Amino acid sequence: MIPLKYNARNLVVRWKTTLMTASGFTLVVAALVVMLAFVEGVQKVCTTSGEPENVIVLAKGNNDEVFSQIDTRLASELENSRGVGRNDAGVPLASREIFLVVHRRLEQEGVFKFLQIRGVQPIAFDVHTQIRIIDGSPLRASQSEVIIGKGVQREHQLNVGDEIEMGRKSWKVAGVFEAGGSAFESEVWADLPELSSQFRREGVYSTMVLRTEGPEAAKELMTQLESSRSISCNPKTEPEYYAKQAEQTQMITSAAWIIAWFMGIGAIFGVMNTMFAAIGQRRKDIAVLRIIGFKAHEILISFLLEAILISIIGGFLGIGFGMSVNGFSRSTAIGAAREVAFAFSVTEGSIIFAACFSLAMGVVGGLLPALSVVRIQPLEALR
Amino acid sequence: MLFKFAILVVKSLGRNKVRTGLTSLGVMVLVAIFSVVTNVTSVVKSKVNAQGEQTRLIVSERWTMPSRVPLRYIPEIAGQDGVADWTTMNFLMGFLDESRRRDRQAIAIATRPDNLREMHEGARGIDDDSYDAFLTRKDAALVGPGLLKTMNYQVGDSFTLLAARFPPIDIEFTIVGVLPPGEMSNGFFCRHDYYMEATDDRDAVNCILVEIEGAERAKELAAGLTLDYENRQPSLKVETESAGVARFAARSQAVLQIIDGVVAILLIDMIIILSNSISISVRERRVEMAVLKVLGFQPLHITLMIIAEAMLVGGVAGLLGTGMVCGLSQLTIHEVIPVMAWNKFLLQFPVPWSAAIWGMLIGAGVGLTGSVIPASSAKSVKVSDVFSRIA
Repeated sequence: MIPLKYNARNLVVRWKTTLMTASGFTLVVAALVVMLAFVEGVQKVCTTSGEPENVIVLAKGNNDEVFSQIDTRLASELENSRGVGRNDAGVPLASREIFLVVHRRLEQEGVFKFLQIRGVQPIAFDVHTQIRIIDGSPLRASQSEVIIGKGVQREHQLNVGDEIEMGRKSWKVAGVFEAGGSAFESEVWADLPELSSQFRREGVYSTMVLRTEGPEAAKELMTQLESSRSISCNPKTEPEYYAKQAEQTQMITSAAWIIAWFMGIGAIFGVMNTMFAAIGQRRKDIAVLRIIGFKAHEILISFLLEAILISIIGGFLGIGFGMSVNGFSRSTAIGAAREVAFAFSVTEGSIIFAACFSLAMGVVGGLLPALSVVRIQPLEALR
Repeated sequence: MLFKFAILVVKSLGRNKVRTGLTSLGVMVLVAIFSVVTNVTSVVKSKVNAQGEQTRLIVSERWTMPSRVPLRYIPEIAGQDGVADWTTMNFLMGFLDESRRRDRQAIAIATRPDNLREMHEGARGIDDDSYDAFLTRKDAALVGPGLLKTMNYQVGDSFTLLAARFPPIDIEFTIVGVLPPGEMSNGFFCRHDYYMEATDDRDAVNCILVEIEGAERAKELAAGLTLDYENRQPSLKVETESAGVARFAARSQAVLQIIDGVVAILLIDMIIILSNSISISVRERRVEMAVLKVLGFQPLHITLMIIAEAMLVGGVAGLLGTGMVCGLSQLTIHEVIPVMAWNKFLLQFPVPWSAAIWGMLIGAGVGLTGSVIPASSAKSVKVSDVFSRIA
């Protein structure tokens, strides 16, 4: 076998061409890693949202709580369903909730921005056990107070003590909460009756969240509600509901792959060019290698390895650049009207994917030039 | 002189056909995807940045989404001085079959039928027969081509939209025509009167779209209406159409920024591929450059020759790449090739033929940028150095 050092030294000697070809790979791989990190980040938020013990109930036919409406009668029936847990005081662990998207005017910028508000009763904190106040105090009913998620604090630059104009009143930020990185962190929570009266939603709720004893009980409750003749609704376990919300990232994933493939094809042509040029310049070297006894397939492998080396350098740098977005926070729209704060997440899977993609580009781009080496006649090349 | 120079450029490129071919293919592929991506983003951005055409106002509920503007407000708003035309919009969201899969989801706009073509950009190209049928038939639906293909519908077919939002009522429609490719490719228009009848939702609409005589008056009216309705229940939010679109687009800003980043990367990638190829070519042709200098070529001539070579490769590849995408788009629209998952988006974001010219210019621009360094290295070839090495 031709020593790998031979190829490595050749790459160093033609460092300008090597660097340019590798940078083509770097850009493709970096773009792929960033796009995958975006998708992973959004999916992570959706998969960590909701607790498997909870069943979220929407109005029949509705898949999004923004558009769902449940009346008081149905809410009472759901509350008393078999399987719904109770707290120490014997109160059903059923949270009646209103979910609204309101337009908040940012006076300094003169633009409207969406704010997601959930109207809840005190029982909600027994149902959504992920919620933890990290700053300020808990929500007090009928005091025009709200608590905000970490994501809202960052996106809207709000802090404890700030006032938010919503409807005809001003709401004071009483506290900031975290919810294990879930979609709840992109919400503002307010007192349900206060919010209902402010936005003319009395007597209707968006959803009911029912807490059961465990994931199995939640599934049983879901089946029971689905098959009920008297109750007409759309129940889902909370993780299932949020996973469904993340479905639209599939489209972004497909688009990311299509773009990456096209960019990859471009980079393949680039590496082919480089390798053909390298072979053209080293026809005499190849002839000498053949004459001193190296077989055609050994030279083929040697040149193929050279292309792969370029792809490894480019891929490595691309992954490095792509990883720089890891943890970077932004918000994006998911589902019909929901916006979630997420952090770009470069996972091991993405890195392996990107590395394989880079390697594949190197192999495909290097194969054709390497095959052309076999056709070189040593004596003719030395003439 | 210029003709001879052009021949020299073409012959130089023809000398290494493999390299020219591979470089062209690389640029072609990247320009093709570049044109597709920028076409999608430019459609969104053109809506947001339609600063000159601020004569349309969107009237919606001040605070909440989905907005509910009472129908009783309409006569007051439509009667305002300067209002040229108006329409109502209700957004219906639903599924086209019981599988309730995302690809079976559709959005419909229930609106006033009599001025549909004037008020909705997505309905401007509807033929007269379809439009007449829409005016005559209450359950009529004008369906986008993407939706039609996904569901294998034909004009005359009836379908049911299974409600996915409030009010939870499934509505049956009859297809009377097909919308032109564009923004409503995966949706459909239906009549507001039929929507009200089917759902019994007779009190409010999601928003009112108002056409104003002149941008100045539109600005005045937007401010005036916002103030007038500030203390009404519900209060209203009046904004220009582009501001409304911008607000929704801002929700997907992260995606748009990633796409912009990808576009930049595509451009840089093209420049790298072209620059690398031209650099290799210049290195191999140092003797040729020296001979040209001996024959009386000035450094500027050599610089121009290298730049012209790069621009020619880039321009032709750009033209072919974008032309290919335009052709694909037209073939999809005219149903010469079947609409499938991979080309369905071309019905929503058709690539116009004019994009081919842009593709050529971008390719040529990439050639110009990518050849600056190799060209400067080519012009500084020293005749004595080159010939001393040969000797």
